This record gives sequence, structure tokens and C-alpha cells, in this order.
Amino acid sequence: MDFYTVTKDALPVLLQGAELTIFYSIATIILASIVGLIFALLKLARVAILRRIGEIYVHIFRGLPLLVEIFYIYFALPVFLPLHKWFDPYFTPIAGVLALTLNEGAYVTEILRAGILSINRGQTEAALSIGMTHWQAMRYIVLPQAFKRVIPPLANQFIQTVKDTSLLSVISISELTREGEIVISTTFAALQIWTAVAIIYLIVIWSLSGLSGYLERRLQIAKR
Amino acid sequence: MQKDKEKSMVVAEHVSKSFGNNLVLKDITLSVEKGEVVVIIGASGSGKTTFIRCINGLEKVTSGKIFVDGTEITHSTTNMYNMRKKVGMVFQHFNLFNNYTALENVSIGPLKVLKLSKKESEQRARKILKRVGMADKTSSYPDELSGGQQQRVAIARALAMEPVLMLFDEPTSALDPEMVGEVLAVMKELAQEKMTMIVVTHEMGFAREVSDRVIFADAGIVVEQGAPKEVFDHPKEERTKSFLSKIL
Repeated sequence: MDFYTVTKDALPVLLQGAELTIFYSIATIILASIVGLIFALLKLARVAILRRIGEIYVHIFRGLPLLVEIFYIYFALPVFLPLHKWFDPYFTPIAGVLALTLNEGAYVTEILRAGILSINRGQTEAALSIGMTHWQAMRYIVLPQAFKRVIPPLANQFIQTVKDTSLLSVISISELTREGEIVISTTFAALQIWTAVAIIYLIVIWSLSGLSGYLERRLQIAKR
Repeated sequence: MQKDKEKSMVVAEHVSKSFGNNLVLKDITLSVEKGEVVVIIGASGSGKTTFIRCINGLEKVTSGKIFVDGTEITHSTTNMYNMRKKVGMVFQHFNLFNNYTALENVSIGPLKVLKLSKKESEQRARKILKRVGMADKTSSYPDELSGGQQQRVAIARALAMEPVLMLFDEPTSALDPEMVGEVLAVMKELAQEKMTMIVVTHEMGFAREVSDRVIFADAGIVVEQGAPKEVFDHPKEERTKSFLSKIL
């Protein structure tokens, strides 16, 4: 089989995989942003026990390899919690999104926390001085400024997230990498297929970089 | 005594404040009457700034009591958020909200804290910005404004809450000399309108001309206080004399 035919035949399958890759990426990015914001605020809370909860979360989920987390949630957790029965037949995608979210969320926590801490304390004090609560000061004054500052590191993390979805192939989620493997197992066209897979990943990730650059410029023009 | 607390705008009783082992305020007792303009002078590190930050609860006192407009703000059950609505504060470094325009900086308090409608908040903000001479800069962001302009917007932001007391923490110290006048002019106008003001400043001209009382603080205590003429022209304490001779 020549180079082009094998790639052309495999393309629909690979694009199906790419769709799943994008789906898992978007789901994880959204959920990890929410999880990250919650734990960043916990880590900055004035109540010690809340800070502790935030710290423990980051320690655990940033401290383990993502692959181990995926295995743990998919294979180890069901041994004492019958999650696979409760969520049947959706346990596999749920486990995949959960593992990715908890892992990426730990990094997002630290990125957002750094962004929030980088905003001058005077901003919060001024907000408090006109009678805002700490929560209002955070929501209306600090977070909007912090968010703008963390776009570059967040984009970095979300690019990592897209690449991390390839690890979901180990729990037979047919995302792009897994589809590539399957095609190669029947066609043996390693060079062609991995090249095609690589190019698809690059297209997805370059789009994401472009979006981040666009957001950065937009917010720059619109000022703060 | 109880009656005084209700009549006075601010009463501090035996207020001490320490940061770790560093005792910054030592047993301060003083009061500020309604409509009075009080200027606090003193070398840096004398505790002036810490004192006014205690009045709106940005710092917690270590011991002692502070009453503002009849309410003890140092009491554990006092809602500080509610108290701060009626106490305006102007900072040395302006601290305008960088993510908002001048208009939004001034209207956000009425909008989010006083829960006025968007229209009412903006109307109020425009009126006050006009009063401080910033009517033509409503849509500018803080970094598009000069220091003097930023400080005038900051004063407007505090006034938009219709406070009963205004605290000024070295409002002109971070300004270029040519901009000091425009900020002092706004403050002078406020004083003429009988706003109660406590001003920490190094502007002796303002203190002399505008204030009802000058307080000289040093090393966390009130060394001397009185009418500006007395304190500046006939200081009684050695420390006051030595400080004044250095700056005048």
C-alpha cells in the first residue's frame, strides 16, 4: 500500500478519534477550571481548615503521575466502590474525565492562586474600604485582574491537557492516539499513521494557542 | 462618657496595636468631633497610618476600643462591612480598581454595596466626578490618568458611598509636586462642606490653613495636639519642636 492511500483510508477513523480527543479536552478544561478556582480560593481562605483541604488536594493530585491516577480511578477505586455498576455504561468516560480533571485541576489551582496573589493588596483594601465583602472584592476586583494575568500559563496547562488525553488510550477510550494504534495494528503503516496523528494533534494545539493569543490581545485592547 | 461616644464621630480609648513584638500604637486615647478636620503629623513609623487604618478595620487593634459614629467597631459582633460603608478612605497609592474606568470605579460601590440601580449609581458617580473636576475623564482607565487625577477619582469613589467620615492616608505623598494642589483643593472643599476628616499628611500648609486641630504623633503616642496655630507657632514639647524644625 502506498503512503497516501493508507493515510486516506485511515483518516475518517483518525478524525473520529480526534473528535473524542477534543471532547475530552474541552470537558476537562471546563471542569478543571471550576475545580481549580474552587481549590485556589480554598487555599487562600482565612479559615485554616479550608486552606488545609486545598493543600491536601494539590499535594495528592499533583504528586502522582497522571497514568497512575487513571489506573487508580479505573481499576483500583471500583474494588471498594462499585462505581462501574453505578455509572454503567458510562463509567469509562466518567473515570477518564474525572482522572484528567483532578490532575489538571491541581495545576490550575496553583496557576490561579499565583495570579490572585499577584494582584496588589491595595486593590482588596480599597474594595473593603467602600464596604465590599471579601467575596465581592474577590469577584469584582481581584479575579477579573488575576484572570487576565494567568491566560498565558493557563494556555500552557490546557495545551498540556490536550496532550494528556492521549493517556486515556490505556483505558480503551478511542481517542486519537488509541485510534492510531488500532489502525497500525492492522495496516502496520507506523510512519504514515503516526505522522497523521502528530499532524492532527498539532492542528488542535495550534488552534488552542491561537485562541489564547487572541484572548490576550482582546483583553489588552479592551484594557484590563 | 457614654454620651460623648454618641456625640463624637470617633472615640479611641486606650488603643494599642502591635505587629509581632513591634508596638506601633501605645495606649492612644483621643476623639474627633462631628464636622471636625483633624490632621495627624509625625515622622514615618510614628503609627499615624496604622491608627487611621484601625478606624475602618483594615487593621485590628491589639487592645482598646474604637467607636465610630456611636458604634463600637472593635466589638466582635460589629459588622465591619456595614461600618465601612459610612467611612471613606483615600490611600497614598490611590488603589483605583485597575480593571474599571473612572466612572465604574466610582459607581461600583453604590451599585454592588448600596444595591442602587445601574442608572442611579452612574448618575451619582457622574455628579461626584464632576464635583472633583473629573467629568471629562469618566471613561478613562486608571493608567490613563495622572496621579493627581487618579487621587481625585479615588476621593470620588469614597464620596459615592456618602460617608459620614473620611480618612486620608498621606493622599499627596505619592504625587508629583505640581499635582498636589489639585488634590488639596478637593479636600479643602470637602472641609468647607463640614465633612468630618482625619488626614495623615506632610502638607503643613494644608494643616495650618484647613484643619481645626493638629495632632503630632511620635513613636506610637500622641505627643501634642491643639489648634494649628498653637502647635506650629508655639509647640510645647521638645519632640514637636525638633520635628517641626526639620520639616518647616
